[in-house]
Amino acid sequence: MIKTLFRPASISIKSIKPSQLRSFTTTNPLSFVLNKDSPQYKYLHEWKPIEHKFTEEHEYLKVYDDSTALLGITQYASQALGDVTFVELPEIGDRIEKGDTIGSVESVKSASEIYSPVSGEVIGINDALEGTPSILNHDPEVEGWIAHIKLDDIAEVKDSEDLLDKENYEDFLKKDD
Amino acid sequence: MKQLIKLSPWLKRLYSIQVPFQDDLGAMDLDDLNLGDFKYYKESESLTQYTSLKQPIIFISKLNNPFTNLAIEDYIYNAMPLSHNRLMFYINSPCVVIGKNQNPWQEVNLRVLNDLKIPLLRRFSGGGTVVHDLGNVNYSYMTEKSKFNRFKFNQLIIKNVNSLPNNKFEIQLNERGDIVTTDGFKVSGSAFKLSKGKSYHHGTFLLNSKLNVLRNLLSRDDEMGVVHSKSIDSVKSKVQNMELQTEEFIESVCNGFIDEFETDDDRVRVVEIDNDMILPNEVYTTVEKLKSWDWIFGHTTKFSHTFTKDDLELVFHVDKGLLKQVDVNKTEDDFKYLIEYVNNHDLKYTGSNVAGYVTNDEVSDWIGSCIDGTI
Repeated sequence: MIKTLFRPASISIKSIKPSQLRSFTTTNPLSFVLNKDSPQYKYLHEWKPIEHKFTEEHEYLKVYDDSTALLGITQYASQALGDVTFVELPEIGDRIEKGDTIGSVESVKSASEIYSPVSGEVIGINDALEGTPSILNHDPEVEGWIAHIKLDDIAEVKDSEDLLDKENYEDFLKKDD
Repeated sequence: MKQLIKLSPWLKRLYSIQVPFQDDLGAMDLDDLNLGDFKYYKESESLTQYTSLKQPIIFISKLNNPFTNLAIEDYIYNAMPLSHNRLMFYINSPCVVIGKNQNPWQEVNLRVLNDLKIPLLRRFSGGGTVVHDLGNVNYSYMTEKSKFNRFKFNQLIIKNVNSLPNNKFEIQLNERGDIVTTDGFKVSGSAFKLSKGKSYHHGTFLLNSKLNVLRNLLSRDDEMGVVHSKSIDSVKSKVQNMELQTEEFIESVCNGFIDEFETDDDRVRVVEIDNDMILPNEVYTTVEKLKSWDWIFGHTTKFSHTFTKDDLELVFHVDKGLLKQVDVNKTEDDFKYLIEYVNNHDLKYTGSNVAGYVTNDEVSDWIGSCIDGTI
């Protein structure tokens, strides 16, 4: 779907920098220093999510057993968007209703909205994306998380019909092509 | 809100009881009862009756207010049913339009803008800064997200404009997806937005714009201070007018749209938006947002603005349009009040606001004029 659309402008051979060739690993680009003091560090590198869900708009949601979740965009979306040049983040303390816009990503003159598939309160944002938006291209599913949300009700995730599990999301991607 | 919508047909009926229509008037009414003017009575149309129609629609706005046009575009986009394409044309009175994630202090010569009393707008799509005037037509092509393509609509424009019999300049697509003449002069700038299930590609098309004014509005020199930010930078390009008539251009692109999207079951409808068209409340709400300081200036991410004069170096740190911190390279009494004020209050970053707290008149005029020409 979006893949075909964005493709022509997204990556020109000339614009690939050596650091971008590592896109598919979870290694950080050299420009980004892993922040072990960040409150999200243990979520990203120590704890395992109890649920890992996806939306048809290509967001992912990793839910942890303290009833919080990390929201970001999938590897697929990150490739489809092309070079990310700006990330608009929500603010800590923002109230989010299911379906609300939680931020946006700009790439190649396009502003793409990011939606939250759950309701809750924003308790953390990934400040690193403000200075280095390209983290979203390098490592969208770990270091490129966008918002940390305290869920109103964890059952909303379990019962949601809009949220796909990994297998269904992959099928959805195949169908989309 | 819901209640209002429910009420409105009833209200409409209530108020329409007394209104005579053209068809109801006989010769006697016209002559003897002085009701002749009702011949010109036209029932006002409402934009909402078209925006959700399940057929391709071309909206041509006859309005020139940039705030209203951008708000109508946003409304049509939000209200469109998926899988029924929309095309909108609008021509704005002179204004400068920055991209959603840009910094006005960095992109625009605010001094010239304020001198010419030209409005500044921040649009909802990405990309760089453009200048609109009556010699420039804006188009907006809205479609499903799954059909989003950065090039397709510009190709349609190129094909149709090149086939106009009196077209003077052949145009083509460059590697960035911009429309340029064969000599490489840009005639159109594009920007895009993607939301749940839908997307639009809109752009400008230079027909007979005042390019010298455009240049002055967008060129800044280092004397006005150097801005460091993470906002989106505009890519400067050499530009040119196509010297076509507005109607010619609109008609040729409309024909292209009809060729592409009209089928026997799906006729293209053309709707003109003029002053008589009733606009929904959402449009007025968006106009207010587009006019607000918080959106135009406040939606700018952190930046620093550095000024140097002789041996003085002054750095202003601004976040969300508010001056947060002032750094001066030497002890300078002139900035004592400004620093004190900024440490305790939010100050909207405008020339006159900052100048107001600088005690030396000469310095205060200089700073105000550098920031945005207001002192």
